[in-house]
Amino acid sequence: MDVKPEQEKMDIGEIVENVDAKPTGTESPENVKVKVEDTPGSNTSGASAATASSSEEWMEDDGDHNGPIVIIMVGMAASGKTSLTQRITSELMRRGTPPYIINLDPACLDPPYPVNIDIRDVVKYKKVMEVYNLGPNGAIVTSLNLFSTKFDEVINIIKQKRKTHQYVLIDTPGQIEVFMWSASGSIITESLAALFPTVMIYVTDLISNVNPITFISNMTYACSMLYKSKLPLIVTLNKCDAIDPTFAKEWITDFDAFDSALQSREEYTSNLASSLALGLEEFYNKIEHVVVSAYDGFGMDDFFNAVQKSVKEYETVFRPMYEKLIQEKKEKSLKKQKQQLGKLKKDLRADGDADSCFVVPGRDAGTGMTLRLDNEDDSSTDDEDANVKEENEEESFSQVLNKEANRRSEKYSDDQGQGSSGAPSSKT
Amino acid sequence: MRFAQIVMGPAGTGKSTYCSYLEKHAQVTNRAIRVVNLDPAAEKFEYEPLADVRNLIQVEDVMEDEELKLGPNGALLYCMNYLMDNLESWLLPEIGEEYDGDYIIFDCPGQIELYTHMDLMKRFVKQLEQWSFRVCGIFAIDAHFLTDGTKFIAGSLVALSTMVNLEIPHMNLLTKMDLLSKSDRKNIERFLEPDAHDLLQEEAETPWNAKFLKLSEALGKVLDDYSLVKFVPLDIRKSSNMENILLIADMVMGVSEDADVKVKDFEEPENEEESEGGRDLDREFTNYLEGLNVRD
Repeated sequence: MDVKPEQEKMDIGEIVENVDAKPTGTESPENVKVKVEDTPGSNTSGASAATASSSEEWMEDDGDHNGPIVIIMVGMAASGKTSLTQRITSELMRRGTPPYIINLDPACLDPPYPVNIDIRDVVKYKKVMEVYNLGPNGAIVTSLNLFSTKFDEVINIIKQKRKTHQYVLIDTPGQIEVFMWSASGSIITESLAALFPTVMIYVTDLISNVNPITFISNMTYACSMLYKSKLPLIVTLNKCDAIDPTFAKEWITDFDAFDSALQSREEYTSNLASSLALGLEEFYNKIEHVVVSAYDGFGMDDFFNAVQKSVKEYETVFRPMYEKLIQEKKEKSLKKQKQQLGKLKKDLRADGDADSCFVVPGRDAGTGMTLRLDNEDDSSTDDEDANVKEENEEESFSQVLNKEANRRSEKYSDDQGQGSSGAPSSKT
Repeated sequence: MRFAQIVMGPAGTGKSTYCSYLEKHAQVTNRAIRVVNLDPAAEKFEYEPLADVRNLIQVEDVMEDEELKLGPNGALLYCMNYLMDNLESWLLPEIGEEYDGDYIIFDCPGQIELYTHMDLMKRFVKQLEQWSFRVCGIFAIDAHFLTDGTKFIAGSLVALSTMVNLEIPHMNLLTKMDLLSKSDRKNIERFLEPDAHDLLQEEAETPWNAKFLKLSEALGKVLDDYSLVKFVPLDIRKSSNMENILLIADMVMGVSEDADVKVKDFEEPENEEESEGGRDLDREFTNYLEGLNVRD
C-alpha cells in the first residue's frame, strides 16, 4: 500500500471533530423515548430549585481551576457504561451544561449520544484488523494505540472548549483492561489528568454484584484503578431500577453484613474474600460511591454531588502530587511518556501501514469538519526544562513529543529485541 | 495426578508468548509440557497447541452470525459458554485420558469479566479437578506497569480480583522483563521482596499517599498475610527464569512428593490453621526468589 502524498500530509495529524454534533435534548436510554424536559431525571421532588442553585455553584467552581471537568467512564462489559453516559448527557442537557463527548470505543455500534470526537472517525477498526493482521481484541488495543499517538491534538481541542463546556465526557472501550492496563490508556489518562480536573467513574451493575464474591472482585478492581491512576474515583452502582440496592449499601458500610452474606452463600468460608473486604473498609471510607439507574435517571443528583467533591479532591490531593512529581521527576516521566509514545509510533509503523488506518475525510469520513492543527512551524523547541510555565508546556507538548519520538526511535531500534514489544498487537 | 497451569491476565501482557517459550523450554529440558489454547479470540501464537478452542468455535464467526448480533465481547462470552458446555465432549478427548505426570498449560482469554462476573472459569477449574488435575493459576502482568509501590499494589489487586473467584493457588508473573532498561529492572527487584509494608514506606510524602495511607497499610497486610505479593519475573531470554517458574508452580501444586503444601485457605475447607502452612511455603518462596537472577 503506497502512501500517497496527501496521506503523508494527513499524517501530521487530523482529529476529526464533529462540531455540529450537539446534544439536541432528546437523548434518553433507548427504552424510554421521551423528550428531555419530561425525563424523570431527578430523584428528589422540588428538584428544580436544587439544581438551579447547584448550576451556579458549578459555574463558580469552574473559574477556580482549569476546566473543563473531565469524566472518564470505565467499567466492565455490560455494566451499563454507555447507557449511563447517555443518561448523564441528557441530565447535563437538562441542567443547561451540555457536555463535550469523546468516544474511545472503536468497536461499538452506534453510541446513543452525539459524539464530538469519535475514535471511529479517526481510526478504522476493520482496517486495523486487516493491516495488522489482528483479531477483534488486538484491533481494539491497536486502534486505541493509534488514536493515542494523536491525543495531544485532542488535548488542544479540549482546552479550546473551556469557555463553552463545563464537562467533557469520555466513554471507554468495553474491555476494561484495554484502557486501564495499556500504554495508550495510560497516556490518555495521564495527559488529561495533568491539565484538567479529571474524575474516574467505575461503573458496575448491581445485578451481578448480588454475588458477594463478584462484589468484592469488583471493589478490588476499583481499588486497583485508584492505585493505578491516582485519580478521584466514584464507584457507581448501576441498574438500581432492576434490583434493590440496599444490600450493596449495607455491604459497603458494614463489614459484618458482607461477611455473613459471604458465609451463607459459600459452602465454606472464603477467607481471602473476607480479608479483602476487611482491608477495603478504608477504601469505602475514602471513596465516593453512588447508586444510579441509567434507565430511569435515579441518583443523578448524588452523582453530580460526588463529581463536585471529586473535583475538589483533585485540586487538593491529585494536583499537588502531580506538581511535586513535576518538580522531582519531570524530565524522567515526560521522557518515559515520549519514549513510550515514540516506541508506539515506531512499532505501529513497523508492524503495518498505520497511515492507511486513519480516516481520510471527504473520502470515507462521516459527518463533521476536519480540524487541522498546525504544529509544524512552532519554533518553541527549547522547552525541555522543568521550570517553564504550564502554558508553554502545553503548546510545545506535541512538538517536543514528535522531536523526542524521532530522537528515540534511533536509539531504540537496537533495543527492540524480540518482536513482542506489546504495543500494537495484543497477543492474549 | 495431572498438572495444569491456567494462564490469565490482561490482553497484551505476553501470556501466549510465555506459553510458547515454556513449551520450547520443556522440549529442551525433556519435560512433557503441552499447551492448550482456550482463547477463541486469539490471533496467532508461536506454540503448537495440543488443543485449540478455535477448532471448536471462533469469535469472528460468532460475530458474523446474523441472528446473534454480538460485538467482540458478547461473542467471546458466547464462545466461552459454548466451550464450557462442551468440555466433556470436546476438550477431554483432545487432551486425552489421564496419564500420570501430564502437564498442561491453558492459555486463557484476558477479559476479566470471565473471572469476576461469571463462574465460567470456576466451572472449568472444577472440571479439571474432577479429571484429577492439580491446578495452579498464573496471573501475568506487564512489568512496565509496576514502576512504583502504588502501581505494584494496583497490579496485585487486579490479580487478586481475578483470583478470589477461582480459589486455586496462584503466582503472579512479571512479564516483559527483557524489554525493560537495566535501571528499571533493578528497580523492579524491590517489588520481588515479600513485604508490601516496606514498599509503601518508601513512597514519597504526598497528599495522595497521606490520604490513602491507612488503606495502603490494610491492603499491604492482606497481601502479606496471604503471601500474595509474590511476583516472579519473567525474562524470556533466561532459561533460569523459566526453570524457576516451573519450580515454583510445581511446589505450589505439590508436584514433588515431600513438599508440605497446605497452600491456601480457600482450597481446603477443613484447614483452620492455614496460616502456619502458608508461612512454610512463604519461606520456601523467599528462598527461591533469592535464587532468582534478575541482574544481567
